Formats: sequence, C-alpha cells, structure tokens
Amino acid sequence: MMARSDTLISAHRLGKTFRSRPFAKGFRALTEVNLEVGRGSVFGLLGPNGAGKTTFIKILLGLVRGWDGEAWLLGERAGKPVPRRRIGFLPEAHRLPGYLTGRQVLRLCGMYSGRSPRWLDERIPAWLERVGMTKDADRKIREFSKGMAQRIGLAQAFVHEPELVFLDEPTDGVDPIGRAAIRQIVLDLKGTGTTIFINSHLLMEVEKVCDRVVIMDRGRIIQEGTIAELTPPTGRVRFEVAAPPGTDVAGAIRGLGQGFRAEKDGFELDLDEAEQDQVVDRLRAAGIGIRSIEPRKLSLEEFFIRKIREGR
Amino acid sequence: MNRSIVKALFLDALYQVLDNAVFRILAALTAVPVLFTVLVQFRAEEVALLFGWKTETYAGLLSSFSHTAPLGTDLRLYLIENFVFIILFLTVWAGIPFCIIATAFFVPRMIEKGAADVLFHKPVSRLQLYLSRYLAGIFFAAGLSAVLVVGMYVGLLFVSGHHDPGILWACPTMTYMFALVYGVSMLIGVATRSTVASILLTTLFFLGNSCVQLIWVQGVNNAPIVEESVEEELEHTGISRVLTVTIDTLHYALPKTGDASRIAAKLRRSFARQPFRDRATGLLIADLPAGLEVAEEEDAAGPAWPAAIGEALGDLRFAAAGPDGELLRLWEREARAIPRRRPNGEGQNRPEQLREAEDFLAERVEPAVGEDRLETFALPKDRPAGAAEEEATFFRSHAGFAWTEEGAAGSQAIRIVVFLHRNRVFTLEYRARAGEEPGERFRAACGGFDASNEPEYDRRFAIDAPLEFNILFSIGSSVAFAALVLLLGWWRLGRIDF
Repeated sequence: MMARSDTLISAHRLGKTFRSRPFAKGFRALTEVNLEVGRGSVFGLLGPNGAGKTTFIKILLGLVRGWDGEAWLLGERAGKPVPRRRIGFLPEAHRLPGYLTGRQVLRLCGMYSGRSPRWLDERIPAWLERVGMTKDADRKIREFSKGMAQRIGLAQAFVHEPELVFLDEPTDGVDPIGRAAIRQIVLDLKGTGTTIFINSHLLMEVEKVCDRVVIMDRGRIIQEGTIAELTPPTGRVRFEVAAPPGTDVAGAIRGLGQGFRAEKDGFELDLDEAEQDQVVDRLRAAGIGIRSIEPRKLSLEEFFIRKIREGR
Repeated sequence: MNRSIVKALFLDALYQVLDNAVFRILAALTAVPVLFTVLVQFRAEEVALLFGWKTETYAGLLSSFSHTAPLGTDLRLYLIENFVFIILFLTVWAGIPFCIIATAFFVPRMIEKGAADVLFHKPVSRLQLYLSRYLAGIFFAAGLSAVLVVGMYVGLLFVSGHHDPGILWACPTMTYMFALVYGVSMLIGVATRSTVASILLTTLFFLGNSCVQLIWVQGVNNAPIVEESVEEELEHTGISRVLTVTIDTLHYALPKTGDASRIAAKLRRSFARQPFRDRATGLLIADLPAGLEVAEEEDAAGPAWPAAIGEALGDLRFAAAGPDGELLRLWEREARAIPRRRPNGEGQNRPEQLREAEDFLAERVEPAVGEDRLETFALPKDRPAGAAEEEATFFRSHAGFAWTEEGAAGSQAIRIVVFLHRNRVFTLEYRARAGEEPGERFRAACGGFDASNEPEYDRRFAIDAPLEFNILFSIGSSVAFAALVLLLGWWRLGRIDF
C-alpha cells in the first residue's frame, strides 16, 4: 500500500518486537498500529510509559529497524534517508554534541538536512531569538542547563524549515515561560502549514495546541479523534454568581437540573439546554447577578485516564 | 549526497577532533621535534644550539653520548638521519596507540542513547555516518603526522639546509598504518558501545598483529641460516607444523602494518637517487664521495686489469669518476666453493670466507705489482677519531692493498679493499693522482655503502616479487582486511535499534 500524497504519515498494521538476542521471544512494543496523519495539523500522540509512542516515531525516522507491517513517511517507505530532509525531530532526553556551540548545532543540523550554510546563517539568529538563546548561542552545549539544551534542541528541529516535525516531550525540563514560548512557536508554525507531531505526557499542553490526538497503550492505538471529540461536554454547567447576603441560591432554582453543588462564588449542576435558560430566568428574578456560565467539558486528562483504565 | 551534507559531515568531524584534549596534547608533543629542528642547526662541521648560542662538533657530540659512527660516515648526515629515524619510529609505535586512544570514543559517543537520535534521524545513511567517523579518525592521524613530518622537513631544510623530501613519505605511511588499525577500533566500538573496551582491545590487536608479522618476518629472515637438517627436524614436529600454518594464515589474513615502514623506506630510497643499488644482494651506495659522479660507460672501463687479477675481481658493477682522473670501481663475483672435510670423513663444500677472498686477490696482485711496491693497510687506520675498532670493520674487511702505478697520465695511487656480502665477493677499487692522499675520499666511498645488514624479508620485499614478498599483495590484503572490518562494523551498526 502506498500512502496518498496529502498524507504525511501512514502506518498500516505496523508492529515491532524487540529481541535481546536472535530467535528470543522478545518484547512486542507495537501491535497492529494503523494511523494516517495529513498535512497542516498538530497531532498529539499520548500514552502511558511503554505505550510504544517513541518506538512508533523512531520507526518512521529509521532509528528503529526490523519492524513488520507498513510505514510510510512523506510518501516514502519509512527508514529511507531521503524524506528525512523534510523532517525535524526533537528527541526525548536528547544529547546534543557537547563539543559544539549552540549556534554550531543549529548550523550543522541544518546542513545535515541539506540546507546551505548561507541559507542557515540568514535564519539562525531569528531562531536563537525565538527560543531565547541569542545570548548563550556561542557557548558550548556541555555548559548548558537542561532547559537551555532543550531550547537549542527545539530550534534545531525547526531551523531547516521542515514540512513535518516530531517533538518528543518538547517541554521536558523547560520552565513555564519557556513552555509558553514553545507553545507559541508550535501555534505559529501550525499557521504556516507545518505539520507537527507531538509526543507528550503533559496533557494540558497537548490539549492547548493539538488538533487531533491518538492515545496508545501497550503498543496499540486505543483511541483517535479531534480534541473536541475527545473532550465532549459533560452536561454539567458552572454558574458564577453575585448574590446579596442571605439569598437562597439553591432555593431559587429548585426543581431544575440535578446534582447541585454549591461552590465559593457560585454553583454547579447537571442541566440540559432548556433548563439552562430557566435557571438564568429564575436567578435574575431572585435578584442574583450572573457573572459567567461555563458548560463543563471532559478534560483530556480525564478522558485519557478513563480510556487507559477501561483498557486494563 | 548533497554538498551541504558532505560539508556537515566534515565539519562535525573537524569540531570533534579539535575539541579533543588528547588531540591537543598530541599536537603539542608533535611540535617538540619540529621545534628541535628549528632551534638546533646542523652545520657543516658542528651542531649549533639556539642560532649559535652553543656549538659542539659532531665527533664531540657523539662521544659525549658514548656513541660511535661507522667508518667514513658523514657525521652530519648520520646524526640527522638518526634523529629523523628515532622520531618517526616513536611516532609509529607510540603515536598509533595514542591516536587509538584519542579516537576510540568517536563511535561509542555517536551511538550513545540520546546522541544517536539527534544524528541518525538526519537524511544521512548509517554507512555514510560510519565512514565519516572513519575518515575523521584518519584525518586526525593524518593531521598530526603531517604537522610532525612536514614541520621537521621544513625545519631541517630552512635551518640546516638539509633537503630530504623522502621523509615526507612517512606522513602517508603513518596514516595508512593507522587506517588499517582504526577500522578495528570502530568495529569494537560499535559492537561493545564502550570506549574503554575499544581502546584495550584495539591496542591488544595492534600488538598481537605486530607480533604475528614480526614472527613471520623473522622466520623469513632466519630461513637462510637455519641448517637444512634442523629445518627438516622442525617440519616433522606436529606442534611446529600447526604453529607455522597458524602464523602463515594469520600473516596472510591480517593487515601487514609493519610493511608500512618498509614501503616508506623503499619510496624514500626511490626518491634518494642512489648511485648504485644491487637488487640481488641489497648492496647500496647511498652517497658518492664529494666530486665523484657516476661514470659514463667509456670512463667506467678505465685501465684494464691483467687476466689473473680480473679473475679475483669478477664483473664490473659500478663506476664513478672525478674531475682529476679519480676513478672508483666496484667489482663483484660469486664466492668460491671451498671443499672441507667433516669429522665423519664426508666431503662438503662451503662458501669462501673473507680471509680466503683477500688471499685469493693478494696472490694475483703481488706478482703483477711487485711485492716491494705493494702495501697492505688495515681499515682501522682510516677510521675517524673516536670510532671504535669494531665499527671500523664496517664491511668485515680485514685489510686493503695500496700501491702506485705509472701510466700515460702520470703516476696513480691505487687502493683496493675486499668485502663479502650475501655470499658475493665485492672489491672496491679507487684510483687517484699519486702524491695526493686518497685516504679521505676512499674512506668516504666506503662510508657510502649501506648494505650491512638489510634483512632478507626487507631485501626481497618488492613490487615485482613473489606473492609473499609482494608490496601490492601486502597493501591489497591489508586494505581488504580493513574493508572487511569496516563492512562488519557497518553491518552491526545497521542492526542497532536506537
């Protein structure tokens, strides 16, 4: 089977067994993985430790060999070097060459991806600025903190302007400001049509930037869908209200909805759409001000935990 | 492959080498002999330190080390060549293990978890990455040897005026030698992923491989002196046979690192424009005494010898002539078979010995020249001051003959000396105008010979020799081994899941 031209990643019944020695039974890290990733999306790959996420990425990038089934990357069979020119990759727990400076890493990585030194020299300063490493760009990598190395690692994944970027735990070791910067970079690049494939444990980060998500567990895909599909409304609505002292809020809406729970500045309860209007009417009638109404959605984290528990 | 990728591979290797502390230490060490050639000037008669701050004569310098030079040697050349030899010898036998230590981390570091992911996801095949690391190692060794050899050459040329482009061959030779061993280091590195294991096992391989070749070459060198009966006895011993076959097999299969210096010596010699070299015996005239030039055919003929003397001299092999009618001629004949009787009464022939060769010549010269005109002289009389007795008998020659002869061109002083080399009898004849002391030039002519003890293997090692002594086979089989080791390394690398 050949992947369609608008499909950047395609896997069909992909499997991989790691063996410590020939003919040993080994450990099945991936089983029957079927997946297609199109252009221009930010794709999240989630799963607990040992789910096979990194193995899947490494098969596509030719870092892991001896797999079964089919895997295609940018229209070429996975493992071939040629399509990797159009790929960026930030590995998990990477170790950039300590003998290079930050600037040299970007230059060499870009050159390894086929970009000319002149082309790179024009773009590297902007990337250093973007990841906040301009000041330390000419220091050796071995002098960097983990977070600094992670920023340079992120820049090296993007510096040659790839079509598809794999980010394996991109915010690992990065402070909250750095995390926000990385998130912004991902969103900016998404706007330029770059396809980004994120493998992360930080589900909140994934939820904020990804369009589609795949959840893997024990080498299999157990769920795939858009963020909206995986985080549906729970039917519960939160009201933030401003009530005069002594007002009986619960009494004002008695008979409407179920599962009322009072909170500090309001309350929460299960409601359907028709009841929601009635709640608003009754609160106003009782002279209670409404500050906000927030329909509750399932968080990605809740959905993820639920799915993993269901599968075990 | 894209040009930028090639450039990246090169730059990556370069940065890695330049960042290496062992490389910097080795670079500093290689600068020492280079600096020596700049600070020490080999003048015509003396050695000058720091541009003339201190001076010392060559003879004085040698005697202060309790060392003596062979008879008739140009001491300046002798010292320079020994200095270069010692440095290059140390570079090969100490420098290569150092280079192994300095480069052994290349592959294990490349395939370390985390580092491999960054590099191997790039659009470069594993073979290209593997070969680039191999080339990086070679670049490392070549860089150091180039600094050393070219630096020494330039230093000697500009400070001492000694021009010997032949030493430049040492640079590719050392690189070649390292290239043969470095593939093994990489294979061990990729198989064990350990720098320490790579250093230890490669050093062991280097030493073991050198031992195998040394034993095999010693076998060849000793072959002519092992008596037939002993040889037969050895062949019948089972263990000996197994050992011989094992050493032979290992020798043919493993890289012949020791041949690298032999190839360099041959290349160097080919550049040196020696006036005379006899392939069969290895006899070499490295330098002619000042003022003498290789003679044209008609000059070489010179005055004819009476038939009786001619029989003792043999065939004319080489001649050199000077502007004032000096003539230097080298004659060669086969050693005669001298019958001898064994204690058990059996008869057997043995080759003629030096004393017998001298007597054979004396018996013919005396009647022709006249006993009263013929002088015999012992070579030690001509030895340079400080030279030891045994050093003076460079040719293992006991005595020479000297006399004066009247001819059409006036009176001529003649000196001849006999020496044996590989069962051949050589006679060196020197003629000069009478009245001028010919000793100096004669001694210089003697000193120009370099045939003392070239081992059998070195002598037979040539480009058109049979397979076991063939230079091309040596290079080909060594390169094939290195290629096989590289292929194995690449195969192993290809099976790694990062």
